[in-house]
Amino acid sequence: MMLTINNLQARVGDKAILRGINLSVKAGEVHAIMGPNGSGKSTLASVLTGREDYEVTGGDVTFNGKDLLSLSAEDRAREGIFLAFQYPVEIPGVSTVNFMKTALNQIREYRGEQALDAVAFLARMKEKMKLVEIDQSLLSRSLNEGFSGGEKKRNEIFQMAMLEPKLAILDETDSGLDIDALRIVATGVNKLRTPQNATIVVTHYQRLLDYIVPDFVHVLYQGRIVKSGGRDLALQLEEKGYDWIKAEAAAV
Amino acid sequence: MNTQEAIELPDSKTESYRFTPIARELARLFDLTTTAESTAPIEYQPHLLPLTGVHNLVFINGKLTEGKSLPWVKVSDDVHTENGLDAFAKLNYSQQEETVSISIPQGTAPGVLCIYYVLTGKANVIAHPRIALSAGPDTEWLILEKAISLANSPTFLNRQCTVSLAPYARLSWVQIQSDRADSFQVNNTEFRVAEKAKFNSYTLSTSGAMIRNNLSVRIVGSEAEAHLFGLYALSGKTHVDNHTVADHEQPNALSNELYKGILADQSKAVFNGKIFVRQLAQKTNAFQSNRNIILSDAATIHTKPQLEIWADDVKCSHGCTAGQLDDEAMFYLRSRGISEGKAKSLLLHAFATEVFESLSHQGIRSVVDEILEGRLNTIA
Ligand SMILES: Nc1ncnc2c1ncn2[C@@H]1O[C@H](COP(=O)(O)OP(=O)(O)OP(=O)(O)O)[C@@H](O)[C@H]1O
Ligand SMILES: [Mg+2]
Repeated sequence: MMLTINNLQARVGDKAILRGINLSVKAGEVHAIMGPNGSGKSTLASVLTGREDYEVTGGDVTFNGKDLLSLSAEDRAREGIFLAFQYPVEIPGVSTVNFMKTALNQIREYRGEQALDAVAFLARMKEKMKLVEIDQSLLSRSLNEGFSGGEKKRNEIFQMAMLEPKLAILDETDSGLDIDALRIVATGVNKLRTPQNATIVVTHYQRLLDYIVPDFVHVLYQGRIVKSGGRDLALQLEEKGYDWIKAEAAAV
Repeated sequence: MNTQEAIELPDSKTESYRFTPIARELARLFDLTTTAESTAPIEYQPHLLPLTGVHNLVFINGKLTEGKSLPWVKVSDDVHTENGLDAFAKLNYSQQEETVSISIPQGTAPGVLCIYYVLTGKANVIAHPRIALSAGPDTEWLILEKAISLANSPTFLNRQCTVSLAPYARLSWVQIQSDRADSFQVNNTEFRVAEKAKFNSYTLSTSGAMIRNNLSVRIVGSEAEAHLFGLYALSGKTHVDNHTVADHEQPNALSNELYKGILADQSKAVFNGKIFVRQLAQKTNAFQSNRNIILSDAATIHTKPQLEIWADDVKCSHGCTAGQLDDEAMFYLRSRGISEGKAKSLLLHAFATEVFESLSHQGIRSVVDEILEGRLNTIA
């Protein structure tokens, strides 16, 4: 098992947000997480990637045999976890290029690998730029500053391509993308798939899942996974909404 | 040289020194009524900045030692006759008869002059250098100043500078304040900027015990331009006080001031920016901004803009901020595998570089960048 989440609970202040999440992800799999606004999807992504605003109050998470929750945010990334943010941050004065060079080399150092030289880095960048069809000029600008919503999302996937994570969590990467961009980004994500890595896709819409076809679909509601199924669960949700799931959850 | 009577330095009851008790510190550590004797020759060359193709002036304990032979440098005895000098200026005159005059005549090719103040000796190491510089019409020069303490006791540099820019002169003035942790400085600098002249000032402070910079720019000609940039990145107990004045006496001129600060540990900074727009100075543009990142609960900043405007057709703005590093940005960087320390230094760098963006001289720029880089890597 690559990722095992066992009864994970987390809160902000005295507000409980995650209230016992269980989820297992194997290498090679794609899991979709859906659920109404405010149900805790982004919080789950934040807790998995080590954001300190959330206090873990119970449960544990194992990632490739390691106790994930005991690692710092940077060490989780170095172990191979990547989050494509729902709302990427703008950072004036830091270019994507410089940022990626620093990140990549710190990750390589952690793994006991040589730093990439300028030529190798550039070659890798060129290759990955092509994959998500992102323009060089965008990457030499300040990170996300003044980027359109779609450009920010594309930049997230570019970064994912650069860092080649073992587990990628895509938090509503489809929101803000036009139809063509959605296809390009989704195709890019598919090209990055290997039997050794896994993807968790957080989304509200079936259209992304038409491209990135999930092996499992989970519904998160009020901090718990209340229903899991195959890809047809997403189609069902598209058709019927969440009311029936909420009713089922209330009945338990 | 001895003074007849001790000069009273401004203590914390003086409003403009309220947050900077330098008089008290100096009284504790120095005897201000005497000056260090000139000492045996000292090996200062290895401490100069690695720059080529520049002219050097080196003062040792306030006396010019290297650069006397430059054609436009003159050393003259000078007794102060002006009234209304501030106490540190009076002290400087009382202890130092030499004024070093530098006049760069019209037609001189563009160049760079580095001025070093070497402080050396065993005890009571004080220097009172005094410079009067004039940049001739249409000249284009860059002046860099740096203090180098090579003493085994605390040092005090009390330097006075008056600078005038003739019409159409372009002058950049760079102060690098990165001396030892037991070094004290008072820098009184007055610039007079004539018609259509363009002036840039860059003050980089990274270390020292206590530094007070009084930097004033008088716009005495129309359509002049003055840009005042400052960056202080401090740790330990370093205390840096920047008091600046942009005084618009003539119309259609621009002053633009940007001072940024990064404060760690128990460091302290004071920023006081005055803008005067006199009645004659219509169509003035005067902007000022002071922004600070506070990295520690024990660090403090006192920042205060002061605007006095007598003309009616002017554009003025000012603003000051003090905050912490952006949490969201920190997490974003760390979530990509960048260590906390490196993420901090990336963000601090991004914050700081703006200050030196317009410093176009390659060699000086890389010297500044290197000092800054080193500072930000250790502060984070
Ligand atoms: N830092 C925080 N402080 C306070 N409340 C928070 C914080 N983070 C999340 N919450 C709350 O926790 C709940 C879950 O938020 P979260 O962002 O995880 O939802 P989501 O499922 O991603 O929703 P959406 O579909 O709208 O993106 C919400 O009620 C939200 O307001
Ligand atoms: Mg969300």
